[in-house]
Amino acid sequence: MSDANVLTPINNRVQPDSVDGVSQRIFFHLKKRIDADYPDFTEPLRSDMSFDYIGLDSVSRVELVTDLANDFGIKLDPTAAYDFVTIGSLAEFVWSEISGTTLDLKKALGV
Amino acid sequence: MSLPLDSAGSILACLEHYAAARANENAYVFLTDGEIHEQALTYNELRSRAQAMAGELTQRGLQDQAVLLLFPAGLDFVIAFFACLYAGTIAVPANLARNSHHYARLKQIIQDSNTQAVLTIPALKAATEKGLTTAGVDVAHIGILCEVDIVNAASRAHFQPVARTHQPAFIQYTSGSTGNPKGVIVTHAQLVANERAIQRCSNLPEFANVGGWLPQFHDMGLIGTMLQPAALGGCYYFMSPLHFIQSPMRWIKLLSRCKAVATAAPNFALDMCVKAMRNGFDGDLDLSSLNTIFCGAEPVNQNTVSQFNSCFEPYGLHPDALKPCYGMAETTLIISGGIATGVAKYLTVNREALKTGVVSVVTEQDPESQHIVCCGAPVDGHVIKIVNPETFAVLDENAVGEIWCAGPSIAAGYWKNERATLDTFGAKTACGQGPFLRTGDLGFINRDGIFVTGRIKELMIIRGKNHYPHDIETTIAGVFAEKSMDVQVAVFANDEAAKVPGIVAYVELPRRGTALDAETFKQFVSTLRQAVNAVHDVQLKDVVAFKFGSIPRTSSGKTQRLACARLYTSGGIDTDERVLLSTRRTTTETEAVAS
Repeated sequence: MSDANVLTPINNRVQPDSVDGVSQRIFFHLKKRIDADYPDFTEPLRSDMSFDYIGLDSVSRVELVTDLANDFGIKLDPTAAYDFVTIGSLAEFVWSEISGTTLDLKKALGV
Repeated sequence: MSLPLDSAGSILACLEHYAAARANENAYVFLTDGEIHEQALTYNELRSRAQAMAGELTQRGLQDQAVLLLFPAGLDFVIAFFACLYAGTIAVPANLARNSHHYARLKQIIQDSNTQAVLTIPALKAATEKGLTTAGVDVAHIGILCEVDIVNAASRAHFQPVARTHQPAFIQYTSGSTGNPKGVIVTHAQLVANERAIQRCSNLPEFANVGGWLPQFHDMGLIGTMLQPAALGGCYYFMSPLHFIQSPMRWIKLLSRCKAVATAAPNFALDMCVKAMRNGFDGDLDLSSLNTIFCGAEPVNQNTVSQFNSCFEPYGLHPDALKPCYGMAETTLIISGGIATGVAKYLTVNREALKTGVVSVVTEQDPESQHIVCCGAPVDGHVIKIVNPETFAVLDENAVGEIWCAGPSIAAGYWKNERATLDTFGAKTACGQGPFLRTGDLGFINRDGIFVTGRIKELMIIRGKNHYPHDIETTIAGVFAEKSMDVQVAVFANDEAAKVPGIVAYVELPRRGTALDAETFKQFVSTLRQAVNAVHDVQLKDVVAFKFGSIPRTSSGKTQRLACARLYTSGGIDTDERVLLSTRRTTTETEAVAS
């Protein structure tokens, strides 16, 4: 798993410069949740892991998206972690929202 | 002063009245982004669009037929629901499906209710058709209909008003057993009787503004918040549940902004608001108009009530506004709650005595003290008895027994399930009184106040949603069966007061066969969590593997899930020799991490 501390919040906002930066922040939040909810879950987090696999229920998904929205100072639809169900695809989507670039849906969804 | 609701035979009588008297007033305002952007529906628009849609439902021969309502939060659901009432079509509200498991559940509801059409919005039509087809539903015989596709200029002419009182208005599928879906039938008369009960128990005024976010397909969201303002000529200001979860303070700001008189929420939602306030809030709020916050759908915690009041009293919240209540789909919604004069708000009782069915009031300092919140008095026109669940003898005040209910808003029964209807809705006391609804909940009465203490049935309520152990056990056993392992499973809620609620599974391994090593167990746990989350949307916290024949059972072999839970919460499981493998962090490990 990537080192989540690489991205340090500045003025309570995190400023990623790539999809990877977004992924690191997702890893960071998931790690906190997993430590609290599933201490036995020691598998390294990967971009292709789904939120179902990690065991995130609907409330936790919305809270994850809220955490990301707060980190990056952007608005994210609460259904984002339903529409993009892996760490990697959610990172692609969030990065597209931050950077204003067009989301490559096929790439994001791996189809 | 009497209200139209007092004499209405159905909620449509209220809508007709206010569509004439307050045609251009807003009946519903939906915040599409949870904050600023509004979509509004006046009483005239609501009646007009619902009647036009009803005309088309009638044209399609859907009177007295079940129609599934699949809608995201918003105004479209409101119009479709009233259209069904007008047409005499039986509405079946359901949650949106997001994966194949959810569509499989919808298939069971469709089959059980003999659904003849699905109402939805254009944006969901293709996905719904595909999902249902994949689940094995013959969509060629079930129309998937949208208002914009079926309604035209002539539609309203097809509408034929029919007085309906004792016919089914809708079927409320409980979150119930997936293998045996139970649809609670609510007639027009029962629905309006419960709306009257809600209004009277909290003295809600005519034209009341109500605010909320609860799912519209859920009984508390549908009857408690969505329909109550329409019964009173008021307005319902609402947002999507996801927008609430994303930012709980949106709900409180909404209540302040629309000067809501009433709202409703489960206990966990109040906790979320307290947490949000503690994280910092520096905006303006005026909650002085808020007369009632119905709190139900799951056990109400006195600490939560106290903390919520402390947080919001500085913003004008009246100390009596928060009103715990009690009810279920089988009572249409509310059966007790609201204003209860002369009744204790909560009692402090001895926890150990309560386990034996004895209510022993103690001081706060008692080391075994436990608070039990009062869920108000029985609502107007309804009766609650506490009954010995084995002898059916009616018990005295302060004796714990099963809660039995009767009154005009007790639902008509379970759809096409006479046996379950008779067992649950047709109970008679030992002295021949009845029929009563058996709630399966345990409680006692103290000075007219209803106190709910636990459950006879092993139903788990997590974040206001009912989960039946058998369903989740079937899912878990299915995962092992795929690896040719025949296991016995018992599940229970980890702790309803836990920070993050979830469930725990005990898995009893087969007597013979390959032993489960730690690595394989870990893989199973991962697959189990994925499956339980996808099918039931609940977190599987811990999995404990037991030796064959070790899960607590009765002498007749029935799994004792409550005994399983006690073993877990007491920590006895950590040193139990019958346990082979476990994900649970032991008490010692937890303390080490905390330090």
